[in-house]
Amino acid sequence: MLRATETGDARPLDPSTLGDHVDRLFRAAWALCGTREDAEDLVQETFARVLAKPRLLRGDDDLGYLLRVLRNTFVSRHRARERRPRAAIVPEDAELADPVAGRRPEEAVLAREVFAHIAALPDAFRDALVAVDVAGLSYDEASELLGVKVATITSRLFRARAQVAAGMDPERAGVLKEQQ
Amino acid sequence: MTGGPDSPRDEARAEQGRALVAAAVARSQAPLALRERIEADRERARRARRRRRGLGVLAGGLAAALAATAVALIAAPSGDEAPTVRAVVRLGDRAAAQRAPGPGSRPGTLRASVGGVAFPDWDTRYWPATGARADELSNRATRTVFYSTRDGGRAAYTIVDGVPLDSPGGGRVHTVDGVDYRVLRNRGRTVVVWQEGGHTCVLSAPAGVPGDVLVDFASWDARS
Repeated sequence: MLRATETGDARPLDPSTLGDHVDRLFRAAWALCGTREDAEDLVQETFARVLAKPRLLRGDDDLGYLLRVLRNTFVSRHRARERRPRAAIVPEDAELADPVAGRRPEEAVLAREVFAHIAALPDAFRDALVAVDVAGLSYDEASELLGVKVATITSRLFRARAQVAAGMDPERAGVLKEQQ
Repeated sequence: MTGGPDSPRDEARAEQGRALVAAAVARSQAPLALRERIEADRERARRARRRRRGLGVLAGGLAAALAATAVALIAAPSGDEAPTVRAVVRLGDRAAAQRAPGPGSRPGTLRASVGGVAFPDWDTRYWPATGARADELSNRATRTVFYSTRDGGRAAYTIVDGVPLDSPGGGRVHTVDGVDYRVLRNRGRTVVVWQEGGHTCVLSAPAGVPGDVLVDFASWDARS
């Protein structure tokens, strides 16, 4: 059977399959926002936008489409937030209310630190790292998503990874080895 | 800017960063509460679309309704067809969107059912329920409960509402207490299909689970 990409035909996005991508979108959102709470809001808003009306996709890359909507939603939210004063700050230890984090606090701390460092990267580096290392896209898919050459993705990814490592506590490397 | 390492030290640092990110990714997943909110949003959107479709037909009057019916028959001939067993098996590949149902009032059952057919509670058999989801296939409501097998694999048990689906051909048929359980292989999984309470039930598990073991689980409720 020919795929939609080969025929050029549009196909409707099947809402019932959206749940399959929640984990990857949540991680991408966490890496963009820097906190779990903001990531949850961003993912829910992204799905609300997608579900608001029937969507026709060209190609069979649901994840790429969803990541594009996620990133656009993040950018528009970020701009809106910049225009108004901050209202409330969620305490960092609020994440321990999460049952998984409560059982494995060290792992939760590692993930929180790493995603916070990714969120603090320059936008171009952050976007490349989120697309490839966090969401799991290929270099070609990331290139298409971000509208840059594959060589640029490679370069930005290298810099982004180095900056994440440089920003982390050096003892984290030891923690990582113990956990693997 | 050009890519590539500036020095072995840069390369080592980039590799360390890659490993840190990979570790963080492996240790994080979407909270169940978020999944449940998304599932609720999806269900609301589905109902809203149905309502809009229904209102459109009513507002158009009888002639428009007849025309719409004719168009629907031409444009979507498969819409009223029953789903295939293969499509039901594919539901088992999807992620859980709801919490696992708790124990039901009847021993050996979970607090989840379709058309009076309750899902089994296999906790005592070391296959605990881990999650659930609800879907619609060709206008048929389906409900799936996921179980964790003893070796950590994932089994999916789906009940399709409405009249039984056409029986798939092939495979082997095991008859237990008068019920026919058809064992199939599909996309690397062992699959058992049978009818219970007038509904089609489909249980699938990784290929490492033998067919007779899966039949034993499927027929467990029938024996108790």
